[in-house]
Amino acid sequence: MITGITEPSQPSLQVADVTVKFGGLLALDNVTVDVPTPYLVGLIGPNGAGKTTLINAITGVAKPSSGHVVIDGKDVTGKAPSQIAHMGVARTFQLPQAFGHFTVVETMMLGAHMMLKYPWFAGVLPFGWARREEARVLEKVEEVIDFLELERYRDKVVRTLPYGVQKLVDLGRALVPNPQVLLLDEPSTGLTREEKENMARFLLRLRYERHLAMLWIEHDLELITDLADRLVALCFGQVIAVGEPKEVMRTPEVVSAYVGAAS
Amino acid sequence: MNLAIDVATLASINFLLGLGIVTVYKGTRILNFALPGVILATAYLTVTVASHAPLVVALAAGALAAAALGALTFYVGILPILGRPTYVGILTTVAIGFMLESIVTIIWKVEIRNLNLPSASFTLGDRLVSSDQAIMWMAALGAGILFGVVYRYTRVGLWLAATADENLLARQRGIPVMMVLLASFVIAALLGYVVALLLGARQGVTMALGSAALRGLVVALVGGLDSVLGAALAAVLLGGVEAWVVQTDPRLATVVPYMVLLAVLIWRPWGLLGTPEELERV
Amino acid sequence: MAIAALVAAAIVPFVFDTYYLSLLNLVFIACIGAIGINITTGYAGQVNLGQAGFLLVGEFVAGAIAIHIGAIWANFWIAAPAAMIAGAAVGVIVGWPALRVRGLYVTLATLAAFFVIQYLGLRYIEYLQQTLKTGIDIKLSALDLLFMTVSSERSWYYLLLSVTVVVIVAATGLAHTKAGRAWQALREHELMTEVMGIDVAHYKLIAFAVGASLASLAGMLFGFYHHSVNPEAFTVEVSVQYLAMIIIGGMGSIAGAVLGAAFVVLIPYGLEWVLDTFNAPSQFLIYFSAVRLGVFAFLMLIFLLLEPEGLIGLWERIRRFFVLWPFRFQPLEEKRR
Repeated sequence: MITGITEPSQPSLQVADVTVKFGGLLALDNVTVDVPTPYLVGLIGPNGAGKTTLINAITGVAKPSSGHVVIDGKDVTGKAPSQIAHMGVARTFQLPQAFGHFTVVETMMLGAHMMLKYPWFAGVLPFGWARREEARVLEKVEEVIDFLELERYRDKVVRTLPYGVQKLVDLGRALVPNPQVLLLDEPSTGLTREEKENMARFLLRLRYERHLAMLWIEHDLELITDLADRLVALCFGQVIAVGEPKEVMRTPEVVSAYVGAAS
Repeated sequence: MNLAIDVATLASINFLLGLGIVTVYKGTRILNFALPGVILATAYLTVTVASHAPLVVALAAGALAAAALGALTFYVGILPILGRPTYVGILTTVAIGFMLESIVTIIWKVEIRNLNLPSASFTLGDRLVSSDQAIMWMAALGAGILFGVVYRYTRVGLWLAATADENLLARQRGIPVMMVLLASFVIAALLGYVVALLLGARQGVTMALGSAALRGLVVALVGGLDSVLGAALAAVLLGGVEAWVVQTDPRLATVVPYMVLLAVLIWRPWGLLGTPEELERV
Repeated sequence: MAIAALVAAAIVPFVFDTYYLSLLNLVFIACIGAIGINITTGYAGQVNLGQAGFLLVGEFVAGAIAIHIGAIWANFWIAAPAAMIAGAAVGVIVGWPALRVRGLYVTLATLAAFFVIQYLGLRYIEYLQQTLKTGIDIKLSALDLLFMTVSSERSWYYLLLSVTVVVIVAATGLAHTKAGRAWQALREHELMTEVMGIDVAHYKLIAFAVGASLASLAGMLFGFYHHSVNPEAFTVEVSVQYLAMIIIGGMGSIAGAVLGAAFVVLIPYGLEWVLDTFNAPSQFLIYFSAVRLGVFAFLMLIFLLLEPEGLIGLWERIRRFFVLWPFRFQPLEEKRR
């Protein structure tokens, strides 16, 4: 693996001793994770380990009862999800079809919302400020569409597209506003082998060309071990192993977590 | 004393109606806007049957119709749209409610019908109290205790919570989700029917029963949609305010519950005892 | 294409007689209100059961300006902006709970607001009747645009057509820029929308303000069109009719709102004709408003269950059927636009 060109600087995303409780249940228990730029950090763990909850805690959807989430050196704990998104955090969703009635371009323009600086009512006029901004941002959207090779689907309604393409559109939607930190919630789940490899190719290009800090939830252990710079294993809300992917996969805790979950 | 009796009666009506709404909400996260229509239809049906057959038969027919309409609301308005956004469920129940209202108007021609339940009266302090008023108090108290206990101490409460919050998980764990949903609509309709009878016996069966049923929605929201205790509190509060205002301005009295509702929604949108905002799933 | 449509629209009053023009005028007023509720309910997913209340706000503003200012030019040039501002303000108050809670609560807030507005309005009317001795009916003076007086059906046609076109253009603009996308996204999933950096509460409130302001504009025009302030005309049934317009026409589509408004305004006339020709029992005619309500509620249900995209969606499907025939699906490889 080529690592020489991209040595990590300071962590773009720091999760420090975060605890999240749902009722009496400890969904996350003192979880600490660092995602430096431009690292691809894999997040693994059996179902119910708290992986999505961790992403929810970072994006401000779940409120930590203790601990801190730090983006680029700024503490964002307790901020509203929309504010955290403005700090340069984007995420993809497990089920991307929620906004399926939009076309691909519209979906990406929705993702570009933060880049559009005109006041909403300027949209009333069929010319002027709003239209200029829309045109400017549309160029950026077209770049992302090109990058993800989605030209042929450009004007199709998202829910009519194959599942793998929907996942790519969701990734594009998250990429449009130029995030510093990208959180990927099972981007490859439900995809065919071919689609998975396609998705992995894009994610690697993002890591090496765009220098994003990425946290990637993945169930395909083989895939994530090959691609990630670092692995974090969660089990019952606790971090059970961190480090070099191959080593993490060998730790007794991780092995028993997966075997235990399987039995 | 007079005021206390009026408050008790209004509060009982409010509570029974609110309970119907809360029951459906707990199971489905849907407000049943069809309830006013269901109440109207069953009340008029009971009156009509009662004029041709013994009262018991009429009551049984009414109860059966209420259960059937509750089930119909579920099968027609909710089942086909499960999984679609919330506003669709609001709209389907609204549509069913107004269809029923329209049918009732055409069949029964907005006439006022009398519903004669066997009644007696007794004095409380210096005020004559009719038995249907007393029955209403008992019904509200009984239903309140019953539902409170059922939700807290049996599996039904857990089922309802699980069905609403974790629909998929609930199914995987073997909770009969469809049965729970269906049952909550049927129970709400039956509760509404009880109120329709008692109100109908007091002031005649009229189209106004429909708007009285809207009160249930107001009570449920003021109290907090997922709280039986909240519904009770709101029922007493609204009953009290209404009984008090009606003495000075009867027209204001019909609007005052809505003013209370707007105030509560702006100040404390999840209701007096409701849970502040449950999270959506991402 | 657009020019042809404009020319056609300009000729219409010389082709149709007054009766049909009056129907068209009612359609235009309904269009404005329907586009409003389509923004609140169709785009942003906040079910509005109190449209009649928002319409009433406009009518009361019309009454207040006509009676208190009394200058005939103010009847449009002041009343229209005033109605829109008042409507937006009421919309913000009613939508306020939407800042912190989701759809269900807000729906009942709209219904409650309707009852409260109706009550306050009636009190205001009584005040006018008692202090100004206006009589039972409050008569409104004619509209004057400074360059023309609007009194004949034909002049109303031109005024309402222009206002409707402006509203359609403005609403389409909003729908296709950031507000429209944010509304549609939050309708589908509020939290996912928030995570994309969109202030959901803010946009919900805007949806209420814009929707109520257009409804209020429609109410104001309705008041002047009928030369009277008549709160009794605005019942819960009116709110249901407006919901029916957007559900039947197509939620989240401006064209759908226009189509639905025309449908809901015109269908009752067809319905009356059907009842007449087939000698329906007399109670169907006596309780015609109930029959109408039932038909609209039934159509609402059918469209919600079977064709959630309304007549616009149906039209798309029919068009696709004929374009693609004998195939069922469009091939993925298609020429770029």
